[in-house]
Amino acid sequence: MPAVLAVGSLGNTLQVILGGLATGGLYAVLLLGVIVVFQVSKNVNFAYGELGVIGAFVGYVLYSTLHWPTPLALALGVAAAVVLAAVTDLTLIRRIPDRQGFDLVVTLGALLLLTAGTDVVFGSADRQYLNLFSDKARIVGGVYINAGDLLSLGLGLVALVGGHLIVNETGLGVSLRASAEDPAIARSMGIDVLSLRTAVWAASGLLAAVASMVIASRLVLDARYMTPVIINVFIAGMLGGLDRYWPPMLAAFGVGLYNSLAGYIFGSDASTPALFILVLAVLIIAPKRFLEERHEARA
Amino acid sequence: MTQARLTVEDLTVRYGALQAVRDISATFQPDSIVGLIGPNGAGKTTLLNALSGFTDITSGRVRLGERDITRLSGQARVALGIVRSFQTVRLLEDESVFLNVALGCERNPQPTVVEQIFSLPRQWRARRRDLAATYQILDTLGLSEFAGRAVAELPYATRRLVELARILVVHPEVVLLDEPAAGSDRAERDLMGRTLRQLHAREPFTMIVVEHDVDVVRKLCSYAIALDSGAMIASGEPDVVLENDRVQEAYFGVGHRA
Amino acid sequence: MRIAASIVVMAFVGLLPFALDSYWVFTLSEVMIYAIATIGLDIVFGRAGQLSLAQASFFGLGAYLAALTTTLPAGLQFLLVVATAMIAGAVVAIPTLRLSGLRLALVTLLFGELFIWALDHLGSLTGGTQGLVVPALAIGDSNSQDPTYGYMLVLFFAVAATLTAVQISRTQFGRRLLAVRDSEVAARSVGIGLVRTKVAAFMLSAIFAGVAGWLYAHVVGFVAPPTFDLFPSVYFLIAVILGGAGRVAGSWLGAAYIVLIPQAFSIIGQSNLFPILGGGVLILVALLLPGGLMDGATRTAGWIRARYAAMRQMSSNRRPA
Ligand SMILES: Nc1ncnc2c1ncn2[C@@H]1O[C@H](COP(=O)(O)OP(=O)(O)OP(=O)(O)O)[C@@H](O)[C@H]1O
Ligand SMILES: [Mg+2]
Repeated sequence: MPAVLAVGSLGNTLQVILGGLATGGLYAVLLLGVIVVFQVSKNVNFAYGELGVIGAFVGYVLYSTLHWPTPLALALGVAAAVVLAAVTDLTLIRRIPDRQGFDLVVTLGALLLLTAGTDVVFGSADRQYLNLFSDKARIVGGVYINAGDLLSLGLGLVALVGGHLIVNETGLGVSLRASAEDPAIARSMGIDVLSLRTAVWAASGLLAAVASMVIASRLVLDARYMTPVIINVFIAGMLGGLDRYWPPMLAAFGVGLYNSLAGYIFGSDASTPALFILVLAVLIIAPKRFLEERHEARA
Repeated sequence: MTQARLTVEDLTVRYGALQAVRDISATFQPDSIVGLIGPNGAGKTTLLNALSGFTDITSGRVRLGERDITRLSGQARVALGIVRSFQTVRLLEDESVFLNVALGCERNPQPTVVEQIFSLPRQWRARRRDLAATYQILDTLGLSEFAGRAVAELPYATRRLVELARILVVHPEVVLLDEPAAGSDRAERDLMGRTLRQLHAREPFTMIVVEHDVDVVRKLCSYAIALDSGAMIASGEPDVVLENDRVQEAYFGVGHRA
Repeated sequence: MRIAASIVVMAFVGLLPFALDSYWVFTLSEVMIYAIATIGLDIVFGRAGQLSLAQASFFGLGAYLAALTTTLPAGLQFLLVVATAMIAGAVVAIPTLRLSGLRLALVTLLFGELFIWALDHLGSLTGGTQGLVVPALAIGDSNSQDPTYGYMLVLFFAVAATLTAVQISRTQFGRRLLAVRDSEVAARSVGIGLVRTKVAAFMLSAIFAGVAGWLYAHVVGFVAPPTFDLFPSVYFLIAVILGGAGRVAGSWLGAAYIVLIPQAFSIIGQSNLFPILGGGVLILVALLLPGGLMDGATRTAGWIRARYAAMRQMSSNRRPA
């Protein structure tokens, strides 16, 4: 803490913390999508962020080029991402051969395809996105509070609590895990595994689109703006473990906060090495059990 | 050939609240064939895991001869000649039978990676030695005709033999077999039993076999150990152990008691 | 027979630069350079199954070392590249030993990000985002940036890399790699040291990539960060998967694809279409031909042979009748 105080005033520090938590909230929204997909299908989607980018772009084109009403444009953007996510599951994920790492390879291919496709279709210029409240701000007790930050933080908290209720407190969570653990047993329990998976993928598309729109309003819109964001989200998932719930979701807030504090203390240039150091430190100190991801059935 | 005697003293393996193996003491005489029997979940596989270093031992000791190997890693135990098979075969499914068996040559002293890559003289000798050993065991087990085939294409009983060949390609001290005939039909079971007896007669080693088939245990083993709920409930001559009341009860339940 | 065939192929490849114009000679050199790095990735990913997204970083490490040590004699440069790549490979491998799948991919990706970050931020040394011009390496009375000489230089290392990869398939080390990939339980049960095998695989793969990068800098004469970031790492992955994991000829095929196809696109003025094709190809090959093109070719050849044999059989059965 003294280091922080040495750099700036208490107000600045609080503001950095608020900004970090807001970013973390968006990470949490995104991570919730990653977690449910992982829990239902044991797959990770590298192209996840790109689904959101496309949703954001569709919304952008509808309101800024075609001048449709903003809420309708954004809703259709979200719908586009939902459809695309479901299509990804239907056309790609279901056909992945049963070899280690091939889900990563296929979704890396999808990342490449969608990123380049977005570049070609929408052009590679940076665009200013809708403001989504990030232009509304008020100073409370020396702290500059941005409504966009509050929106992000709120979304994050909704994802955190809503996700908890869905994953841990309802039958749906049980169905998810049953489908991933043993599809045959899940089927005998009356779960339609394939439809459930597609539905979960679709839901992840929704989360990706919402978060991507808010992030676009804070940054700029281009084909790649989600890539660094999604790397941070995956890192939070990796630190917490995708087969759990609270540790990764809290790690999402933690990574957001850590990044913004590191940026504040060492300059925004330092965020890459700072994150790297965090990951290495966790890898070195984490117990073995924590890091085992893919168990071969025991001997 | 084998000299060292494998002993376990008060061996316990715990998984959380579950005692998968509790307080087992036994001596496996050199070159004997010991049958390990017991109902599902009795702890047979766990005992093999404890002997081969595939699970942590909660308390007790394992010795090979005078040497305490309780804390040795699985890798170190393999180096001492303790090798095992698995209840479900573990093979490189997409690779050839030959490659899978040659993998077992790891127990021969291997040249360094640099020597291997640059094909230095030690590598030539090692390669010649390993190829010869692999072809020989393939021949012994009647697998030569499959040498170039991918394991995944073969019937289950043949894949069991491939796993066995991988274990035996370099002469072992102690062989731990986990249900070597599981998933085989009557004829294949008998064949596996006979094959094991022949191999053992040719070049003896200590063999511990988990086996449910009473006939196979009778014909193959010189000694039997029965487990139930992790504890040893009987040991001795196979015939005696198989007739033991507690063993009968464990297998068939109280109702069937004579 | 095989020896004779090899001699013919080598003679053909050796004479090629005298038959082509210098642009194509240069392009072929590039294919060979990428083949060396792809063979390296094939060792750690194709054979040992460790998904690494840092291959372009090792490639870049070799390239920047070349750029920064132009005053040293070539032999010394080479040794320095090998030693540094070995260390870098171990540095990436050791913290990631306990990881697999997504986590391994992510951490190797982070190593790559860190490398690019360092290039950008050590501007006085590395030229930052502007990159560095690399003076040609003198070889006898010519230099590495002369297309024909450059080609010969690269050819020498490409042949060495290919032979090394083939030799690895014939060794116990090669079998260890496959065991680590396919079944760690089986690997442990025969006494294979997982840690040592994984670290060795990473180190070897880094050496291949480092040497390839070193050649790249000397032949191309210019190094800049985009050549070494995440996207090229994914392209190396595409090359391995497209050609077929664990197959040296596959690595060559994959390298030819990632060098020649983008060139073809830029010739028709559509260079931004290549990543779309790249992504599509990666998906299609992974879904439809998980063994890669080489595997597909082997299967097709086997199928044709079987059909041919069956036809022969039929006609020979018919004849006596
Ligand atoms: N790694 C482990 N973690 C937790 N529990 C385990 C583990 N390995 C075995 N167990 C438990 O220990 C008990 C004994 O299992 P074990 O596999 O040794 O039985 P077994 O005698 O081999 O049975 P089977 O005939 O079915 O193969 C079982 O209840 C099993 O669920
Ligand atoms: Mg068992």
